[in-house]
Amino acid sequence: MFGAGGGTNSYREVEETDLVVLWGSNAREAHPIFFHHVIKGLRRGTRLVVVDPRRTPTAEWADEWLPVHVGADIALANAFAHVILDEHLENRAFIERATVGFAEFAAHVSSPACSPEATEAITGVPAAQLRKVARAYATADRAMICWTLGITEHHDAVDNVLSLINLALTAGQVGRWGAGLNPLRGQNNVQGGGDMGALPHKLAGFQDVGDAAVRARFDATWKTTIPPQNGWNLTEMFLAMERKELRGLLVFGENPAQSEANAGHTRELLSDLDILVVQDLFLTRTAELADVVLPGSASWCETDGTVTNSERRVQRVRKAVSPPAGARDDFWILSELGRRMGHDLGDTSPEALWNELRTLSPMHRGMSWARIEQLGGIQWPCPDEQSEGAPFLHGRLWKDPVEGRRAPFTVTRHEGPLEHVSAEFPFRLTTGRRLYAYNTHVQTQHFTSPLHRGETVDMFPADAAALGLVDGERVRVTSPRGSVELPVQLDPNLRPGLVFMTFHFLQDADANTLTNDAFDPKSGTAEFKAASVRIEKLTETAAAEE
Amino acid sequence: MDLELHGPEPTEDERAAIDAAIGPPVDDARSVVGVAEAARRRPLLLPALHAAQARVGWVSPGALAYVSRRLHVPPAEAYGVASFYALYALHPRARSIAHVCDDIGCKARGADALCDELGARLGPAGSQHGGAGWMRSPCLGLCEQAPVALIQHAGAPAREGALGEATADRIVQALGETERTPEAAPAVVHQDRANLTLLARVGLVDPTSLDDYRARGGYRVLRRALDRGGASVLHELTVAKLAGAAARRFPPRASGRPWRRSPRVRTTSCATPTSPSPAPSKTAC
Ligand code: FES
Repeated sequence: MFGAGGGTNSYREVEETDLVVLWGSNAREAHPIFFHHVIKGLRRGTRLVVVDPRRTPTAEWADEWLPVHVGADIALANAFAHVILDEHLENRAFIERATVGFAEFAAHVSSPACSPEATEAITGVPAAQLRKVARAYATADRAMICWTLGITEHHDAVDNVLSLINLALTAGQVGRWGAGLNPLRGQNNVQGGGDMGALPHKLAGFQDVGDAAVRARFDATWKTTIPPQNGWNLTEMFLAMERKELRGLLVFGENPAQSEANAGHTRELLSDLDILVVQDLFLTRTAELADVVLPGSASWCETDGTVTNSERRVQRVRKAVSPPAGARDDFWILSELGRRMGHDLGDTSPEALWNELRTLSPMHRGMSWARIEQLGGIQWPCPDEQSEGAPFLHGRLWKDPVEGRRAPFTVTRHEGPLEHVSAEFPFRLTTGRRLYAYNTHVQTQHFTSPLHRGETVDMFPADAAALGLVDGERVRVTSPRGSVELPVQLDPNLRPGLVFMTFHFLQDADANTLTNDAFDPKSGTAEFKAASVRIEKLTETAAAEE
Repeated sequence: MDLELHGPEPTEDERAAIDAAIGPPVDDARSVVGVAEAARRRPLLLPALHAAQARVGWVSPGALAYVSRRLHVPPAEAYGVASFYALYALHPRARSIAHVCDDIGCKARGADALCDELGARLGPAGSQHGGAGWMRSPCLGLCEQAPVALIQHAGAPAREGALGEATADRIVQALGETERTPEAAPAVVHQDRANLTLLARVGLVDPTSLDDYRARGGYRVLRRALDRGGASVLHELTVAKLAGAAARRFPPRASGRPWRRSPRVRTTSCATPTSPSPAPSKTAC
């Protein structure tokens, strides 16, 4: 947010805020720990608004569910802002003191074409309901917007996020206790990966690769020269593989052969590499394609170190058991690779590495392991040993005059999903997760549960009836990229024209054979949330052949 | 809320009875029930359980699940409520049932003899013959008319009424008359008021007026207790041979150690909650 790559609020604030907007997030299933904090808030009177095309288990907890059409988030956010301005509920003092670009933004969203009434057909959200929610958000003492992949897995992901930022700036709902903007992280340490610089355009502590002064500090410590240009993100790497520019790949605890959109094509590219090395706990679908598989260790119990959670809290993890015979500590593998390629990485014990990070990343400087332990984790930024970290970010925007850079409004425009539904592919396919499975199910498949129901394509009952399909019947689902066959499940929580799949159950059907690999050039994230498909009844003979 | 209910469905009768009590379901595929809306529905839990039982004589798993789903009350919580009150049955039982109070007030006025006689005529408590049965019940909240029996006939319409100064004859007769609403007990004003202590004000005091209550000597004992102080009151409780609900709160102590001051001690408690039904509230204590 505004240069710092993390959510602006803490879990405690979710429990104490007045209104939470979960936008494109099925946190009840996909972020159950975070949702636990939401429930605590709800029990003490927090109101919940859920924006989602599906009536998800999360939406069922909401006071208001805005049933947005897939890919209409920008139109909805702009109509939301339209209401705030139309009804004079914006925070003028905040806008004037702490932001830039308001005039242009206001001119755009105030146009009649952006009103909730004019955009109802695009967004699917009744205008009266949107007005009510926008009013509640703008007039709440404290309100926060949280989002996940429903916002980011679109070809216009960055514009989606910017649209939400516009709302917080318009209403002054950021930079205060209980008011802010929070992307929820899908794993215990996604935030930590970003913190440590595992991003193609950032060094540790979210410092720009393009900044020569920053690079100079890292160069001096690492005794090397960091290239000044951004690296490739995952999507760009696959494009580079297509161009045969990228010929070798070290995959570190990822399973792109299954998790990437248009998976058939992904697997072809991976198979075509000169060398593919996979370091993982499991022989995943990706590892099966590898030339070399290096058995790594489970970071939550077999190694020492830290993780950073969604509220930017750096926490210690401690080694409880040794990896099984043959598996190695991940960092040992990495440093050994370095050594054999002629780079001595020096003392690579976890605490020594952490202390090196503290000299390079200002936001981590005050976090010694001893202090992290003593304070029960510390939320960055923590610039020195007096600081106890920050529960919320951007309090600076409320200083008069504002400290640092003003927060920018951005004009965003609705485009909708790249792939249109058509006569040939009449259904909108969106993908997501279920509570009882985790991502590509590599780990969750190892325990049995009656709730592992296997993969299905979920359809609105009336749609299924129109095709003569009954609950549980096997069907063929075809997108412009491929086909899968699997059972249909009737789900009244969908809506006409919308079908849903997860990608947990590879052995049943691989949803990412269908998904669209069109991606946002700014974020590199593919449009998992919007493909178009057709659904066909299997003929008697086809069914018999199975 | 996203309750996941797997299991039996209600019968058509149960569904109709519950819908009549709490309104038919609205499913426009767009509605959601958040925590605030669920809280607004929560007070309908007792009426809904009541309606199901009044129709078929018990709260079946299917009815319980349907009530949970309609009201967004987690099934464990709905089960907790249904199993807390003695008047709800969670197993099938006779459609006509007499709940015969054998709690302290009724015991003092012949409930044991009444139960013995019913046992001899109808079989032991809990048994049933030809769709009728009887069972012992905690206080029904009509203590001044002791002994008391509550008669319920399940069906459509369900019939229910309490018999005051009940006799075995009247109970057996009421159980047989499934098409008649048992006569609700008239407010009894005891003639031998001089012998009554706890119930002496019944029929005289307007139960909605504290002033009326005080004017007839209400809270006199409380005032005396406050004057004497906590230690003295706890001593009294220790040496008194308490019975009934009070004894459950202050069981006699074999050790002879006195009861200690506890912030949770409540001073008025004469009845175990038994009846979620709008039983006439005429208890005087
Ligand atoms: S003791 Fe029997 S009704 Fe109260």
